[in-house]
Amino acid sequence: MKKRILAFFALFFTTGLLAQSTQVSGELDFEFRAGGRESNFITNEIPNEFRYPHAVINQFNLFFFSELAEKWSFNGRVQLDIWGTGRLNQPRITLAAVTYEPNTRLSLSAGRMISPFGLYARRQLLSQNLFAAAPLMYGYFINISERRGFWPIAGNTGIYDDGSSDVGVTTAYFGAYVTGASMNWILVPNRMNIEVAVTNAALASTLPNTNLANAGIVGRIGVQPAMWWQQGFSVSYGSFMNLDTLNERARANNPLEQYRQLLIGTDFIFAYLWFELSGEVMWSRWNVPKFANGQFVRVNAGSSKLQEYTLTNLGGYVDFKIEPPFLTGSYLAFRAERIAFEPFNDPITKARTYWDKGVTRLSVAAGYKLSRNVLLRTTYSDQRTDGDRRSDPDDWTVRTLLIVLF
Amino acid sequence: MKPNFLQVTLALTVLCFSNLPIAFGQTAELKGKITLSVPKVSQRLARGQAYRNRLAPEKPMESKAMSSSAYADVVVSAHPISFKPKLQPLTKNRTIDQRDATFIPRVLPVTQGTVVQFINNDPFYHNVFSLTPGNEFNIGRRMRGEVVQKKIGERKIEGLGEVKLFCDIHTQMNAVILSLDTPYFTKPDANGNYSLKDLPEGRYEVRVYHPDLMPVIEKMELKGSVEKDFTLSR
Repeated sequence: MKKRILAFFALFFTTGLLAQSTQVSGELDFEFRAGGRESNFITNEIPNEFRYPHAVINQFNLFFFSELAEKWSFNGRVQLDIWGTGRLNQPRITLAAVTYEPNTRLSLSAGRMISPFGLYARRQLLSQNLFAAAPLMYGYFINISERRGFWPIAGNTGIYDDGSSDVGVTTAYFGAYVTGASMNWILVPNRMNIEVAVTNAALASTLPNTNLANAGIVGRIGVQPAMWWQQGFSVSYGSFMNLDTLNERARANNPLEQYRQLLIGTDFIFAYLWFELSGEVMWSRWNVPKFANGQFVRVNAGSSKLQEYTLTNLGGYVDFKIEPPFLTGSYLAFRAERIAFEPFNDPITKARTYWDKGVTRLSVAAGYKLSRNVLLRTTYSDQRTDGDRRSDPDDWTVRTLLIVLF
Repeated sequence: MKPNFLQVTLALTVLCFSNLPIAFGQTAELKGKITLSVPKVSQRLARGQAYRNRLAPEKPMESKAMSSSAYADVVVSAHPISFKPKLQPLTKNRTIDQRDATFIPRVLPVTQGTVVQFINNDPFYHNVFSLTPGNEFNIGRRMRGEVVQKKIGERKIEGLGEVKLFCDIHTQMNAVILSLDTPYFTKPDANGNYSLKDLPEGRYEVRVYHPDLMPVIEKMELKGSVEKDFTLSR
């Protein structure tokens, strides 16, 4: 990883020296946080061992922008964070894309870039997120594994382990970055655009690379019918599984590339004066094998063919933000969100059952600009898994962020 | 009724000790050339620019302000020390236009208490806010063509009188309203030449300001025609 980062810097500064202009900026996010007794990174982003009140450096980002030539530019982001374990990870390259703009209405990019799908993809920096956590569809891990497919025990009906061993599950829409090539065509400036990306995996993929012949396609049509209204319609389809010792034998007769995710969504922003209402809804369909009792489920006992399951889930969030004009630099925000799992027809038992329990989360946030480049934000979230008693003090979080931009 | 001797004496005394130069019509001119050590300050792009709205081009649009004179953002002001000038808000409202995701002009000098109006001429939202102590405001998102007025500098601003403006939606956008405690100020022409005419003679603090460069502040006696060049650097 260190070699990769060094190579990145070498490439960046070499190209930067040749470029007409090179700009480096950054973001540092300090955080003080605590979580409920049942906190878990894959449910509320706070690892259970770190649920007690503590201070951390959540993220350190460096952004790079270089004009390589008149119509060529480079965008990069190197990120250090505590994602996953709660401990500082090795630096990683989140964004590294070259863009060619033949004219002001068309741009073509290649590399690791921001996914065209949805709204949150453009708001994932903590400085741009109104809250501290990602929405459930982006941050809540469900019982679909890139190595196992449908893995019921990983869901709310099963038991998560302590997080020390990777269970390999993913979110409905992971990370909001894609690797591949994309095109943004502005059909009518500030009115309508189309973005299409050909990628190396579906949006559920947790890895920037893949060891299978995976492929995906992502598209979004964005429209702005009025200044106060932006709407997007997105779709993504592709394969997402990864080769592992766990699925190597099964793969012989069951190409893992055949298991796919379809994601369809719409997003919106309504804004005027000091108010903003925004959100998105997305529906996901999965065609996956099932992993139960330590093995893949087959069509029948003697068959080498894996049984395919079709699962669907739905999720969405609505954010409401107000900037009180009498307290310049401040805002208050409220988020309501839900992820739900629709029942599926089990092809073996013929029973119609739910494949996981839905989750509802409510969040409030208050933010204040201490100066143009220093933001203070505090958020409180509480989430309930369907069937939980109201008195269960499980997945709440309190997170206070000090965001420094430079 | 004719004024008596005492009234005439009092009036003359006041004139002598307060606005002597004005009373006798003795004015000075300060002129010269401004040199910028940096030919043109490049515009800093939005932080994390890749995360911006996709309905507009990747790179910021070239605007009139960005391509105008390098001296457009320079203000030369003369602040009287030896007398107190008569200070009034500018009667004609001054305007800051938002066009092509840029504030035009980027630097607007006004006298304290002047009403400045903001107009969004882009087909997308801007949000003008200021966090300058005593002059905090946030006009929110405004529709195209909507005019919003703000009185600037009612409360004295420390330092050079900068009221810094930003847009919450386009982080690269910034501008400065210079709220000045003097009516004597100007901007240089496209070649950097400036001229402050009809200054009452006296002692002044002359300031040369650019938002991206170190200000030059010099005290000087102004009498007759004074020629003075300034160089601004980082």
